[in-house]
Amino acid sequence: MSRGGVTGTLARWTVREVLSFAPDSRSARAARALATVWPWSGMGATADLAWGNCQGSAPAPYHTFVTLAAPSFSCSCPSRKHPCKHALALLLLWAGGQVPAAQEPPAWVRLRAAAGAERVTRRRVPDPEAQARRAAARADRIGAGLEELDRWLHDLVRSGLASAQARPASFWGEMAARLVDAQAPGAAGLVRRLGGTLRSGAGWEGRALAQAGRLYLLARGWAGLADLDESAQAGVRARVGWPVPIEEVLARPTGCDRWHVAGRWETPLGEGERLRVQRTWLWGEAASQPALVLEFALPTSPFRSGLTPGTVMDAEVAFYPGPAPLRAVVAAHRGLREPMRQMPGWMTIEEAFAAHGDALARDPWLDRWPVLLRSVVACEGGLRDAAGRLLPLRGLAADWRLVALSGGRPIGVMGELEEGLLRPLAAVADGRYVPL
Amino acid sequence: MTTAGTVRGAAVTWEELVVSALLGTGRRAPPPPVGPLAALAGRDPASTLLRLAAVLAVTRDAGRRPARDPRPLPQPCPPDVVARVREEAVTRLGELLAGAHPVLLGEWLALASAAGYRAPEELLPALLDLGRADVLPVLGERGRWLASRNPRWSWVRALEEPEAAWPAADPAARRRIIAHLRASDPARARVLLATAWRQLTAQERAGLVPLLSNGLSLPDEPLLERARRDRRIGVRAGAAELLSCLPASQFAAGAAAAAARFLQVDAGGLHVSLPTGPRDIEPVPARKPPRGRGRGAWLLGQVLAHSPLRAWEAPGMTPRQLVRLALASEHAGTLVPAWATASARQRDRAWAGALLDAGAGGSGLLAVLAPGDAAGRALVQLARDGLTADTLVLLEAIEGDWPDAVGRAVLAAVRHAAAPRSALAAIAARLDPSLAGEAAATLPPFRFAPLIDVLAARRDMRKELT
Repeated sequence: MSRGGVTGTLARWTVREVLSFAPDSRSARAARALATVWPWSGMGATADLAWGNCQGSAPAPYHTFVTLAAPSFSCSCPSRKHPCKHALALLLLWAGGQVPAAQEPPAWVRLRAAAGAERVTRRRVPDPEAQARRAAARADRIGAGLEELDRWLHDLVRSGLASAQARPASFWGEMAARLVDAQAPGAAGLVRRLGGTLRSGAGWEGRALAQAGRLYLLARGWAGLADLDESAQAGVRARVGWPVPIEEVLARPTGCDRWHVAGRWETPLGEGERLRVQRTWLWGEAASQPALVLEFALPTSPFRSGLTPGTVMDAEVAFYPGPAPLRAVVAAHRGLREPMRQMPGWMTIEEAFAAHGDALARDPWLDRWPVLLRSVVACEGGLRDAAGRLLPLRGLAADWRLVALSGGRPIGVMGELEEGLLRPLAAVADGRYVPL
Repeated sequence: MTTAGTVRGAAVTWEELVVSALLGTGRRAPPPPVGPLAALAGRDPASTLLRLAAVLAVTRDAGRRPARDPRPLPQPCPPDVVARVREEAVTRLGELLAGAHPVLLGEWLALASAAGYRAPEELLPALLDLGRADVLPVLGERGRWLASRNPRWSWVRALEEPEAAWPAADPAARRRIIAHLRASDPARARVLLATAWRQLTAQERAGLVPLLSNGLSLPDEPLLERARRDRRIGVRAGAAELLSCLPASQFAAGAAAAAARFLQVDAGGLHVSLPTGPRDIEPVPARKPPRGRGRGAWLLGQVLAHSPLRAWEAPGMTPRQLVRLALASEHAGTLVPAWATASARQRDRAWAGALLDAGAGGSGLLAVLAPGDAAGRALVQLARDGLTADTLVLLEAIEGDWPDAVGRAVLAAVRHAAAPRSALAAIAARLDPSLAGEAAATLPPFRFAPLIDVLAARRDMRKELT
């Protein structure tokens, strides 16, 4: 079956992309083993659905279907994993061109797909008056919580960071818990992070003071919220942890642009955290601007954004409100996805740092900044641009992979800048996108 | 850098703030802000410290500038002529390196190099870290360039330019060099070893002599004779063992002559007498007998193990007849094991077959058999006993992928055997990959998952690497 067999809006997925949906490596291996023709019957695919019946260890075959756009999986097997190995195997077979094209999905597929769509649209419409009351109450609670944080920070610096280092973990945990009770989870996260920084090794004193300073700034920012302009207010609210509903974000004006999905990082689960967090970085070609798509998922579920690193797409992206727009959500895809053959971004390291400084001036709590460099040589100390400046890397393992990809010649590299060091996430060399 | 913490005109530096914060403002007040920072003075020292920290932290971060790199750029790598493997194979190699099916990594490397591909650049560091010689064919120019830049990967240069790397290499590296060189160019390895022989310590020599067993041939005789006259018994014994594998050598002739004094074969049968001391069996070296073995019997066994087997067939006896006679004699416990050792060393198929048929088995003898012979025996044993540990040993001795008949028989037998998971993976590594579909169709999936997965992976690997 040729590559263009399934007509429509999607370029065919590769094996690696499909496997990235697997919840763990065991499922990935099981899916690979099932991705042959013999256990499957009644397979077919249209432009946006693929389906099949898989013979498993039960006497009756399992019914499996997959929607191809932002993939969602459905299977009648008893496995609790999502997506299960049958759904993944079906997608692998489709990616390999082994699912025959069909005109119409069979009845059972249509029924299931309709039931799934209905579940999504059934949501409660909130009452505006009750909402306003809840918002006012929340603002009061946050105010009280941050005032306490203010006093707590004063005590902290009065007795000194050295003595704070000796305190037990509960010292930080309790303050964080109180902030969570005050409905300020963002501030709580910063307090937990500060606690961790005290044990982070060489140079911890400077890092801890910087984080304490930023926490103080947040508390003062909330206290003086009325004096700030609207976008600054939105920034403070976001940093405190007041969530903005996604419908509100999608209602904001969007710009259509060619967006490069440049890199992805999943933060390792810290203690006491039950949600996986994934950061996907985008770059808008026309606006020369980065965007961050943040996703959360339970430990056993996959992330569902449908964004694949290493692709370029025409899309409309809506930014969250704030003084330095960075966090965004994809409102609509338009057109085909294409593979990324060149890294977009800044030409020199100075430019990237200058853009970072500019963003910091508007949003001082920015902790990670995306750096996309079009043309740098990777050497043993870090990345070197044409102007002769060096950007050191964080950690050692990625160093050699980049040196290997670079071979002494310029390549494109993308990463996250944190405290002057780059965590590399991907590179483009010889027209190939390589995630690191 | 201290200057990064200051604001022009202000006297406060970041370092001073950090010290004050560390000790606590109760003990060390922060320096009073002047100039543009004066507005930040708070109602008490703690307040001032926090305000200054907030502003200076953000300023430092925003004002950071990349440093200039004074070093010259690295020399670019020469371009690769060989093509890189396709993306599906890149994904596969990534999985193998991450620990899925470690038994298949060698096979991937062999398939890739046979098809004329090189490994992807981003996986070169992981491949180089493995330190295996079978990585060399897929490195390409980029891999060799990369290896030259990291002292941890100096083993690559050592294997590619052995003579140059020899003087500086440590004993383990030298063993690796010789082992790798003997596989590709035995004569060159011999020359290298011969020139370096005098500078080697006795311990190094003892470690290097056994490596000559790969690619052993008559031109190795002079070097082995030198080793045979070495001071250290380990070196002498190792050399003698290798020389006994060369029936045309002088040593072998001497061993045959010595053996003939203690064992005579004629129409009447075997006539055995026992040596009395080490001198009797010269040139064969005599090591101390283990506990419980009689000295004479031990020495007889040694000299028989070192002498060419053909000599016993001179009066027109076949190996089968000789083995039968030996089993019937009172010295069977000495003769048969000694001849088994000799057959394994001299790779004599007729003798190996005869000994195995007589029940004097051993995996060393199995390795000597012709593939068809080994496969035949394996089929017989499979039919008779099923898939036992002994059958597995027999199967492993077959060279290369198992022939179709054997593969199918194994698949049929594995259902009823209680094979552990590691054995399943080992079996899957030897079966013909085209049996993957049949395996998946006939075997229960959960219990035999290791076998089905590995076999499917091998079949897919071949598709990805053509």
